[in-house]
Formats: sequence, structure tokens, C-alpha cells
Amino acid sequence: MSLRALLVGGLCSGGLLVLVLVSACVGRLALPAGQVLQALLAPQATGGGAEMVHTILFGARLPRIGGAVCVGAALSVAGAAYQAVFRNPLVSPGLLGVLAGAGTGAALGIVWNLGHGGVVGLSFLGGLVAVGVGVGIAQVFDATSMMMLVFGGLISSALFTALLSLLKYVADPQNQLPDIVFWLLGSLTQVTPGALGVLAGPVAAGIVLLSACGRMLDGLAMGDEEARTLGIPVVALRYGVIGGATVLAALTVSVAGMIGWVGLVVPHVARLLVGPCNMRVLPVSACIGAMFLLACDDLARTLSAEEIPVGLIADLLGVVVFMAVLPLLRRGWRA
Amino acid sequence: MSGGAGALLRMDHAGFHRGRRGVLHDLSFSINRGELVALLGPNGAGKTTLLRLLLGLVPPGSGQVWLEGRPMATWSRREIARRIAYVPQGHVPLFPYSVRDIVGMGRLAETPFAPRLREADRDAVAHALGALAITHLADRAYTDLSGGERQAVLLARALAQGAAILVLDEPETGLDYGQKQRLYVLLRRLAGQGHAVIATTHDPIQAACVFDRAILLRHGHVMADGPAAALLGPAMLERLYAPI
Repeated sequence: MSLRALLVGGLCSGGLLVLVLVSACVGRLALPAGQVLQALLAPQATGGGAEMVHTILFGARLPRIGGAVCVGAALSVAGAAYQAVFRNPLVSPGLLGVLAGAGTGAALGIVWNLGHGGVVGLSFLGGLVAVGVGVGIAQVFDATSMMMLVFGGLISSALFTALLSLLKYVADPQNQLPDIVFWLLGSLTQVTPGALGVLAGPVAAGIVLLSACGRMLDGLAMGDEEARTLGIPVVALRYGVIGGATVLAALTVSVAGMIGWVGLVVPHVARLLVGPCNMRVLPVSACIGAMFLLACDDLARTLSAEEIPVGLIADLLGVVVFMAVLPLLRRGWRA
Repeated sequence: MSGGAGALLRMDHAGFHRGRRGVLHDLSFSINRGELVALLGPNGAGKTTLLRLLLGLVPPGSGQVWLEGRPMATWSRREIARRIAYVPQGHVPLFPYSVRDIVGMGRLAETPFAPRLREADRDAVAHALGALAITHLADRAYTDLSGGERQAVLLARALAQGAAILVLDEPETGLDYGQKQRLYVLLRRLAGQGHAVIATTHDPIQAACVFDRAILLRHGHVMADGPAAALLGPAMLERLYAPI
């Protein structure tokens, strides 16, 4: 491993750790760093307000931090994987319709008054169904063609966006419609310790599995036929990676609403830091994505007295970051 | 049907159709260890499709392609990649992979899931870079190289793959005179080391001097197959490249 890769790896994990600590301190009630560290290192301690710090940290703040880390990491890895599979740096995790589908599922759950658990479940399912529809359309015409997949995704996205509009139209404008709109804006307020427990395992597994395909994804950059002559089972790899990335993206939408744009921007930053090899791009994307969304959520929690939806902050900050790295990217891609 | 004793790669009455139109008709020949074979023919004769059949990228519509005595379809992509390496015409990927990364891709069939190249893989890469005399380019971005340098990188990748059969698609495209001569010397050396080398070419004059054997393809049929120097005379070339 090169010195540079080690350095970036160290900086990323160190930066994430520092950011987690900072995030634990800031919020409606600012906690001193000393107390936070004490509560983290010695959770059993009592007295001197330790119970309150403990309650805030473990009941609310840490699950939310964990949620931001998981969602940011998952979306960014999904984005990087999609970009590799489609050989296109402008692809976002929403390409095959997962975001539109998950949004539609959630809206359906809200319209049917299913409660939080039902909304989350339907949302996750909706994301998978939408990608299934996109892939299914591609299968009907030519399962091995990447262009057909893109077209299938376009059609599926359009279909589920229309269905989402329909649901908004039929939703009760007094209480359901605001819920749908707010949910689509993206928020981490609903992440409970239990939800985090369910989220963390699949996200970690997804990141590891997708990263393990990193070198094969590099081969895919050479074009499908050439990749096959290098010994890569191109179609199986493509569908496998799409499947993994889709589950990750659908998970994020189901717990945190639509925060899609992160998945397009973060892999570019990762490539600037560690070069194009996906073995490094995928894990570094996860780390940067986690940091990025955590920072966005900190801003969402602290910028105003009322909490701002994190999806909104992530979109705005994403624009700023993308504008900042665009001149550097142009050199990298010979654009 | 038998697998053709000893032949690395064998076409057995292989044909290929695209829609109703026949692209290749009833091709039968074998390619053996140590052979340096030129594949010649006018544009549209089916050379590229023939390469794709030989690489197992498309199945033949009729007949059979045999690799080491087994039908091509029974080998996995990984197994094929350990036996046949492909040198495409130079092209440029979007992302600026280094030369070492690209040549390292030749080792994907050995360790597809390994996070990094193993010692043996790194040795194979270093050896391939050395064989092409491009060790000094190892850390350069492939996207920044000239056409000739890119060709050398793709050849190095094929060598790193460690396959006995090398399939090259118009390898001299974009090379200057000196680079071409060095390419031919390298191909001869590889054949001498026991590789089977098959290359499409648009230069019959060079082919007659360099290659052992020529296969002439016209309208999807093998028009002639034999020793290159004897076969590629003026009369034959006139017939091969005659307008339709």
C-alpha cells in the first residue's frame, strides 16, 4: 500500500472519529467535550449530572450520529458502485429508480396510515420493487446490455415519480401531505437505537462486500468485452453489485428519506484523494460520505432553533462541494 | 466430434449469423503452440467476429470452437482468461488508472477478490513491464500515454495474464516504424517461447515477412490458410482484396 493511501486512510478514520465526538457535543443542549468523553469511556459512572449526559448521549445523540454515519456511508458506497458499474461518473444511486420507488413506498405507507414501522418497511420494499421493474424492463430486451439497464431505470424512475405524484394528489392535505413532503426532504430524527441496530449490520456488510469487488469493478472500466477476456463474469458482477448497492440505497431512504445527491458527489472527492482504483475508492467514499452527512446533520441540528431537514442541507452543501472539486475533476477525466 | 489432438484452439465447422445475414461460414482450422498466425482480409470480411468467437465472447451459431480439447462454452470466463489473453486496439477509459493498475488487471483471473496483488502477481506485472521495456511508465496515468505506449501497456497486461494463447486486434495500428519492428520481434519471441499468437493485420507485406502462417478471410469464408511467405503473393492479395 502506498504512503498516500495510508495517509488518506488514517486521515479519513481520524477525521470521522473527531467529527463523531464533535457531533456528540453539539446540539440543542451543548455538552462539554470532557463530560462526553467521560460518559463514553465510563458509561456506568453516576453523579454530577452524569445521568442526564448519559441519557442525551445514548438515548438520542449517538443513535442519530450512528444513523448519519450509516446513511452517508451507504449512499456514498452505493453511488461509487453504481458509477463503476455504469462506467459513468455522473450516475447517482437513484439511476435505476431506487429513490423514486422508496419515496413512493413511504408515501403509500403514510396514505394508508401504517405507522412508522409500516412506512419504513414499505419504503424499503418500494425501492427494491422500482429497481426490479427497471431491471425487468432491461431483461425483456437485452439482459447483457448496459444501455438497456439505463433505459429500464429511466422508465422505472419516471413511473414511480408519477406514482408518487399521484399519492401526493390523493393524500389528505391536512395531515398526510405534510408528512409525505417532510419525509421526502430527508431527516434523521427518527433513528432510534433499535433502528440503528437493524441498519448498521447490513450497511457494514454491504460496504465490505462491494469493496471486495473493487478490482473487478476496475476491470469493468475497460469495457464489457475486454473485462470478460480478463476473466470477469461481467453480467453476474453487474447485477450482483447493483443488487447490493440497491439494498444499501433503499435502506437509507427507508430510515432517513431522500438524501440522494451525496451518492453522486462523494465518490468524486474520494477519487481525487486516492485515484481511480475502486478497492480504495469504495471504502474511502464510505468514510467521506459518513463525515459529510454527519457534518450536514450537525448543521441541521444547530443552525436554527427549529431543526432543518438534513436532506436539504446535504443537497446545498453537496452543490458547494461539487462546485469546489469540479475544476480538479476535469483534469482527472480528460474532459 | 473430437477436440483436435494437441491444438490449443480449434474451429470446427464454426459459423456465425447476425440476424439472417451470415457473417462467418463453416470455418475449420486449428492453432497450435508456437505458431504466429496472421489473420488477413478486407474490411467486413468477418475478422473481428472471428476474434470474438476465438475469445469465447460469442458462441458460434453452428459448429464448435474447442479450447484445449473442450468446447469453449464449457469453460468459465476465469478459466478462459488463464488460457487466452486479448490485446484490443488501444482505447481510453474514463478514469486515469496508472499503467501498473492496468497491467495488474491481467491478474484478475487469478485473484478476483483479493484486495491487493499478491507477491506472485506483482512479479508477473513487473516481468511483463520489463518484457515490453515500459517499466519507467509504471506510475504514469494510462490516459496520458501516446497510442504506441498504450499498445505496449495492453500487451504487457496480456503477458501478465500468463495465457498460452495471445489474440491481438490490429496491433500495429498507431505505431511508428520502430515500434512496429519491436512489436514483431516481441511476437516472434513469444511464439518462440511456445505461445500461440494470432493477430489481425492490414499489412500483408509485413505479414509475409513476420508471421509463420496466414489465414485469409473473405466474405466470411477461409479463402486460404498456409505459410505466410508462400501464400501472400501478388495474385492471392489481388483476389483477397478485390472489390466485390
